[in-house]
Amino acid sequence: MTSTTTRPGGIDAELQAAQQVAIDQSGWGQPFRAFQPQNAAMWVGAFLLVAGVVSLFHFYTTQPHAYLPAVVGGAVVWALYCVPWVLFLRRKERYGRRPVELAVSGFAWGGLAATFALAINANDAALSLWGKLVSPNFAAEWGAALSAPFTEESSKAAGFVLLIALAPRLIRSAYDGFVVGAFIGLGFQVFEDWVYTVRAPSADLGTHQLQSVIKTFVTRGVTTGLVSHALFTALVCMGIVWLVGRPTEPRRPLVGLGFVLVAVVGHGAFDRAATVSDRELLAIAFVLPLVAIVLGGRWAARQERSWMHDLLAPEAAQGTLTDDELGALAGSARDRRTFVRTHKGRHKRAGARHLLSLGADLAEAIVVSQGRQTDAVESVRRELADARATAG
Amino acid sequence: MALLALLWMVVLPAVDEAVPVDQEVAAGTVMNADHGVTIVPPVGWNIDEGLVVADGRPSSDVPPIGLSSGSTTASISTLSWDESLDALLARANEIHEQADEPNWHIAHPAASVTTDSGATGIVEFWESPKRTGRIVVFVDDGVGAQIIVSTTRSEQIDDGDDIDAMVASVKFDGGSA
Repeated sequence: MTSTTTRPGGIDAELQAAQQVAIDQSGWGQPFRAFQPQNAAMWVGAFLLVAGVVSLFHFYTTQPHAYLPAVVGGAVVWALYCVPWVLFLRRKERYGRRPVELAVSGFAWGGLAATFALAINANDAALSLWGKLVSPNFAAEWGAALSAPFTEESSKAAGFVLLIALAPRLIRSAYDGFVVGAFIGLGFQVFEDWVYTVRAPSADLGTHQLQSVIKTFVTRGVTTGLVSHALFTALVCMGIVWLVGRPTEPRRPLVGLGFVLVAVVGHGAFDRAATVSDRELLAIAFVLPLVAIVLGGRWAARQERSWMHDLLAPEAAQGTLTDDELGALAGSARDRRTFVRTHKGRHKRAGARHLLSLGADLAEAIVVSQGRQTDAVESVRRELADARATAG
Repeated sequence: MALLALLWMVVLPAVDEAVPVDQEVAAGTVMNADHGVTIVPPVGWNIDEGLVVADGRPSSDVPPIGLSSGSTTASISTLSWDESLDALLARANEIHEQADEPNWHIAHPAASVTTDSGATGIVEFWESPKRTGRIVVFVDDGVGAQIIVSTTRSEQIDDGDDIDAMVASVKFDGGSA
């Protein structure tokens, strides 16, 4: 396919109409306002966030001062741990980016409300009840596996439901469930891991706190960090979207239930495997959710790809983008790799990547302008033309 | 969502609170304190936390032992410890003061205590405005054990014999200590 920089005089009205539909349906470019005093969901969320902060503060103040190195060291390593995750998840938003405020709200819910207001209370009570009703041995061996998948997954999912109520125009597809759910789970994961890091020194009265921090980080962050709350919550939230349906995502109750069940079973298997060091069970706990997220993510992305195509089709029609570039921008990761590989030589491949990056910027500018011809949109078009000219 | 919050924050903890601890220590009960350490808890006390040896060795981590009788509580935990007995006592004091009893002070100088199996440790009595109790530590072959007893002033005399017997029952791996 040859590229062109000439523009036909008019754009097909159908393409423009489809572009507007994609903008309206996707919710891309819409802002997120957390402060909605008329919305009861905001008050419930605010109350639980405050309750979580109070609980976190109480937890912090009841730790011996002697464990301060673990408290601070844990905060540092788990904060740093978020960086690659956030980069990864933002990369997964290649079709349309959700507002940063939405991701931050999800993260805060997972880290504060779900962890410290809900799950910590529920887990303590559930573990205690297993000990009383069955036996302490049973509670030690099965308590986490039989409780946490329900208490924790429901606590995190509650935040997703709350965010749907606060941002119905932004959470429209199962892919939104994937991304927002992952941010909720990441918040839960790092705050929970920090709690484990802070509690770990009690095993040796804090005599080897640096080693303790490193050991907890390696165990919970490096070795098993991929198959943890970010993954489980992404599955649950995708499942919720399919369970309840959204204006552009038809209800698929069985599929939705299946994804929720995979997360719950995977979570339970993981906790049981970690408790008793069962490697075979751990393998199941790793493979099942990972396969589900890959398949579910690809399936959920189809809607996003369709929107992306409709969003940029007028640009291809008027020559701002080539059909190949449009295909790559609205395609899968493999499509993009194939597009880049068709360019021979390092410089040309770098140029191809740059063109795709600018194409994504153009899509972003179009949704931000809600389809209007603004200076920002025109500016990206000029950048594209310049880049193409430079690339030869 | 509000219902879920109510369930996890109020209902489940309330149910847990309402269900009594029904793990009364029977005669002959021996508990696993991890690191090869066992202890015989006082008959009639409640097992709040911890594993009974007769139930088999769990494949999971062994939690600390928590016992109670009225307002008296006892926690027994073990750890890898390569330093001296005095160092363990000093560290146990520091953590106990910071975590549990901010206005804590030592009521009597430390004294030696010997278990039935021959292990020698240190016992120290402490007081705070509301509570009183003792800290007992042992070290044997790289393993440390600490027992922290906390009670009200009125109960300390009643439970004294039970606690003495429990401390004397501490046994390291076959009682070689």
